[in-house]
Amino acid sequence: MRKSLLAMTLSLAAASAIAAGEHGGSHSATPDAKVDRTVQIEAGDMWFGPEELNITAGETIRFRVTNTGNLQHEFVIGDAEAQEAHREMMQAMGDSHGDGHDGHGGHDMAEGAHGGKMPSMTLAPGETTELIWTAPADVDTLVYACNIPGHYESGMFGEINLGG
Amino acid sequence: MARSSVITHPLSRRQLLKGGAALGIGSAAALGLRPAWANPWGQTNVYSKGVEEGPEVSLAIRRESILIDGKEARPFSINGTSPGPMIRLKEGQDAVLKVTNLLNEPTSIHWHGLILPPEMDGVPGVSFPGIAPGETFTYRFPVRQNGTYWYHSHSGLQEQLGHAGPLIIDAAEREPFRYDREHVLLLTDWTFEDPMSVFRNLKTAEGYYNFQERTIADFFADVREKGFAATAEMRGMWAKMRMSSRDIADVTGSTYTYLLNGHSPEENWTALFQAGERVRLRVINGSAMSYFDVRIPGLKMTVVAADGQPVQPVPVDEFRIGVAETYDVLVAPEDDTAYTIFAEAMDRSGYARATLAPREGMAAEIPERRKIADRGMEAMGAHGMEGMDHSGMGRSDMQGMDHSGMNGSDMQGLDHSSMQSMDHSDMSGSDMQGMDHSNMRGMSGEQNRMNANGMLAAGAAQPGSRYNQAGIGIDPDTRRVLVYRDLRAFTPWPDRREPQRELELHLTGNMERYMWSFDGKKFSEVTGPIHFEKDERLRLILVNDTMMEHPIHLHGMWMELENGQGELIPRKHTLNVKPGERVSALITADAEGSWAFHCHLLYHMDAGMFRVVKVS
Repeated sequence: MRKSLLAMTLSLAAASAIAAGEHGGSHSATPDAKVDRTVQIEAGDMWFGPEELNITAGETIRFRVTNTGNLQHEFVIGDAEAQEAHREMMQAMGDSHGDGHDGHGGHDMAEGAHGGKMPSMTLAPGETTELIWTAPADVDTLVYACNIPGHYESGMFGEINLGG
Repeated sequence: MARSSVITHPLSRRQLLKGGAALGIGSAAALGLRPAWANPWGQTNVYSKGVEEGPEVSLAIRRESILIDGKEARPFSINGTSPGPMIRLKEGQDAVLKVTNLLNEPTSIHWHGLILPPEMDGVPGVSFPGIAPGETFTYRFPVRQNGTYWYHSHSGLQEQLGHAGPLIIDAAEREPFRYDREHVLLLTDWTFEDPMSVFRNLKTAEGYYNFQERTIADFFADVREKGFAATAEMRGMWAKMRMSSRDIADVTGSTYTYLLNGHSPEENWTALFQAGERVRLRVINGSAMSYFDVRIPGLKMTVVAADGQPVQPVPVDEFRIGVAETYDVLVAPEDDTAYTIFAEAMDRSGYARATLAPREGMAAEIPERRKIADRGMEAMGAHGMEGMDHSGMGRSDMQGMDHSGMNGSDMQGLDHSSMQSMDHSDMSGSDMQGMDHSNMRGMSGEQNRMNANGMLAAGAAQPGSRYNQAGIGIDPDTRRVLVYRDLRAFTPWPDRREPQRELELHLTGNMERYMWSFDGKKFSEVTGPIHFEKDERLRLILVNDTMMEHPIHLHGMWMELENGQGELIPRKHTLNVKPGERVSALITADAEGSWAFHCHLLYHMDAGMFRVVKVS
C-alpha cells in the first residue's frame, strides 16, 4: 500500500498536463481521448486507498473506484467546505429517512455550499465505477470523501494536492 | 516487535510525522499515584510506558493507602495503582495472566467481555474457587477478539473500591476506522465509605442516598401544572410501589466521587491532542452503580464500537453508557483549544470530568448539570411512541403476537385503574395524531416475518422495546443522543440460524427491602442453573418489571441485541434494560460449562440478581 502510493505519487508528479477542462471540472462529458491517466481508488470500510494524490492543475483523470467494503460508499470531489456542507445535508436527511441516497452506482452531483455542485458517485459493495474529471487550476488542495453519515468522521477521505 | 504490534491502523506519512513531533514534547509531570496508562499523551506505538503488555502479564493485588481526590483512602490496588494498569493484548496471542493475591481475603479477576474457557472466567464459585490470600492464579486463554474491554474483581464488593482496570486488545486486521491517537477513559464511582455499610444502608432505608425526594413544594407545583386529581393519583401510584419517582439511582453523588481515570473532577485529568488529529476515545464504564451521559461540548463524537465490537459509525453529541458497557468514539478537534469531557451521572447527582486539550493546564467551561428527572409514565412502559403503538394497535393487528409485554403480569403491584387512566391521557386526540404510522406498518410487516416456530424473525425488535430512546433525563431534541437502535454491525454474525426457542426472564425487585432478583427469586432461593442446550440458538427475552435500569451481563457468550436491524444486529456483553422495557437477544450456546449471568449493578448482584447459566 505504502509503496504503491509512493509510485503513484511519483508518476503523477511527472505527468505533463494537457489540460482542456473548464474550471470546477467536468466528468462524463469529457471524451476518453482527453484522459491523461487513470487513477485506481479503493473504497474500503471507512477508508480510501490511497489517502493522498498529487495531480497537476488541468490534468484530466479517470478515477476508477472500487468498493471493496461491506457498505455503500460515495466518492465526492470538492473543497473542504463544500464537503462539510454536503455532509451536514446528508446527516440531516439520514436522520429523517435512509442514508440520504436514492439508489447507487450512478453518477450524480452532490450539493455543496451555495448550491455549488461537486462531481460524485455512489457505489454499492463490490461495485466499480468510473468518473472522469479535470483538475481545476485555481485551487491548491481538494478533498475526496465519502459523506454518508459517520464515514468521513471514521477517516474515509483523502487529499488531492494540486500545488504542483 | 512488541512495539510495532501495538498500532494496527494505517497512518499516512504526514500523520506519523505529526504524531512523532507531538510525542517529542515529552511526558507530563506525575500527578499523584495515577495509573500509568492515564498518561496525558495517551497510548501510541512509541509511548507504551507503564502498560502491562501481553501476552505475559503479572498482577499483584494489594490494599494500600492512596490519595483519591486529595484525601486519604484505602482502595484495592493492582501493581500499585488504583484503578489498575491497562492490560494490552493482541488478537491471536495466548494470554498468560498471573494474579497474585497480597490481601488478607480471597480475590479474583474477571476479564469482562472476553470469550474464553469457563475455568478462566474468574468468577469464584462458578468458574473456579477464587484466589486465596498469598496465592497466585495463572489465567491462560487464547485471545480470539479485539477491542475495548475491562477487568474487575468478581469477589464480594471489592470492585467498588478500585479493583478494576482497562483491557485493550489490538486487532489482528485493519479496523473499520482510522485515527492518530487514542486515550482510555475509565469511569468509576468511588466512595470513602465501607461498601458493606453502603449495602447495609440500602437494606435498611432504600432512599438513604436519595436526597432528591419530592417535597411538598413539588407537590403544589405539580398541582398547578397537572391539576390536583392527577397529582394525587401519581403520588398514590408511586406510594403503592413503595418507590419515589426520583429513584433514578439507588446510590448517588451524596456518597460517590465520580472518577475519570482515577481522578476527581477537580483534579481535571487531561488528555492531550494536536489540532487536526483524529482521536479515538475508549470509554469504559467501570462503575459499581452509576450510569453516565457522556459528551464533549463543541465536538461531534462518532461511535465506532460498542462493547468492543465494531459498529457502523454513528455521529452523536452525547451517549449514555450503562454500567460495564464500553463505547469507542472518534473525535476530531480542529482548534488549538481545550474541550471538557463531561460524564454526568444519570441521576444528575454529580459528574466525572476531564479535559481534552493541546497542552497541560488548560480547562474549558464545565456545562451546567441538568435537573433531576422524574420517572413518569415511561417507567410503566406506557411511554412515548413505541409503548403507544403496541397498546394502541390492540387486538386486531397483533394477533399471534406475545402480549405478555403489555398485559398485567409484568406490572406487578400496579393498580390497574391508574394504568387505565394513564393510557387515556397518553392517547387523547392530539397524541394519537402524533403517532408514527410507519412504525405501525413496520409492526404489521413483522407479523409476516414470523419464523417457522411462530416466533418473531431473528433480529426483529420485540414489542415493548424502546430502542429508539436513550432513557430517562435525556431530551432527544436538545442534541443527537445515541440510542440502541443506532447500533448496526458491518456484517452478519456467523450463526444465522433462527432461534429454536425463547427463554423469558423477568427482572424483579422489592425496593423497600432492597431485594433484587430474576423471576422473583434471589440467587440464594433458586434450586439450579439456567440450562442452555449445547450449540442451541435461543432467544433470551428480558422483561424489566422494576422502575430502574438494569445492565444485564452474560459471561462466556455474546448476546446479539435484537434492536430491529435484521441481519446486522450488534452483539454485546452487557444489555441495558430500561424500566418497564422488554428486550431480546439471540445467543449461540457454544460455550460448554457454567457461566455467571447477572445485573452488573454491584449491590443488585450481591442482593441476588444473579444466576448461573449451564451450557451442556
